[in-house]
Amino acid sequence: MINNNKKYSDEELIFQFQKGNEHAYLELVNRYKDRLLNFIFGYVHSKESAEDIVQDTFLKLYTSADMYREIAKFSTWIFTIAANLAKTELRKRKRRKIFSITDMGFDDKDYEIPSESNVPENSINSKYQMKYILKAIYKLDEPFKTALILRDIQELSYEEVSNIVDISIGTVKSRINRGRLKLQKILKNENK
Amino acid sequence: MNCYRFETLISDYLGNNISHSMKSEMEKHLGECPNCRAKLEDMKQILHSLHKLPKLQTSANFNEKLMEKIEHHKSKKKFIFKQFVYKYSQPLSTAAAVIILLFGVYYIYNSIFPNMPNQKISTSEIQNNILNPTQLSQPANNSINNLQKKPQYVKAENDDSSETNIDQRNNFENKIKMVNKEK
Ligand SMILES: [Zn+2]
Repeated sequence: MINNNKKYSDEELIFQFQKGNEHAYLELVNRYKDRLLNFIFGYVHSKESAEDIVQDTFLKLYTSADMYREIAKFSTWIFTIAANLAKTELRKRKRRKIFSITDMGFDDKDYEIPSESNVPENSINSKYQMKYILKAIYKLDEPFKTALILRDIQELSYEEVSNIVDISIGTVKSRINRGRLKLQKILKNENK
Repeated sequence: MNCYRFETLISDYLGNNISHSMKSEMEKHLGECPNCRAKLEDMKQILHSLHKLPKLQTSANFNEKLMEKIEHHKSKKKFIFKQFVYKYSQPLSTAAAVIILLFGVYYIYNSIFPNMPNQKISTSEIQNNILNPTQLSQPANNSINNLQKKPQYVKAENDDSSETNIDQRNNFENKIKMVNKEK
């Protein structure tokens, strides 16, 4: 039994699970479910689909935990599984042609923006409202958006982003730099 | 340093990913260019907002749903196994029946002819093995036992035949002696 979960690193938990400890598995689920949801939402733009994909990601973690090796950080591994499942889902949609161009747009009701009272004070004082920031992010082109979500929202390291998106660290850095500038431009135009 | 160059380096500047000399160059430009100053402040605000962005949360029953999925997956695996067993139950049971039958035949065979294989041949057994077939294949009166046990009956028979029987007997005895010598 794991009584004090905060003592354990992600990697220690996955090794515990590999030995059959299901409490370790649940702890990993609890640590990553919301982070993965926000990440996948960046791909599929619907909370329902995103949650389904996160479920499948954890199912895969359950059935393929043996595949994990110490060479990779657990976070990189699980984000990669989720990203691959999300891409598969997008390919399926393309084949079925369910997705029209307008569906790709950002929808307010998908994103549960907290009421003013729930927003931390320093962000209320911020120049940009959450709503505009979110809309601006989803107006970004795919490669910039993914890199930005992973780095600036999920707060992963450049190296982790590079592993997940499977591009060099140099490319990650330039994508993030350019993505931020693009975001700044979108926000500037919207606030005019 | 021009404004374009400054812009491309903003992220590195904020992330402290540039050399000291580059940093001082940028700060020099900042002192001269209000536009880039504003841009830098703006970017700081954006990044701060991104970090503080409200996050989506998974549904309250997320773990419950996940456990159901896992259970479903497990039962599906079991189902596949059951299907396999069902599909191949007939050939499997036939094969089992054949194996049991073969063992049965082997057991019965062994109980009828005990010690048939791996038998050590002793002199008396060679005698039996050599003599008994002649006993079986020849008329009862020609056998040695009959010659010894039933002399009257033999005497009643043709003398020539009894002589040949005696010759046969000597032959067998010689053979036995030879086998014994070989041993
Ligand atoms: Zn400037």
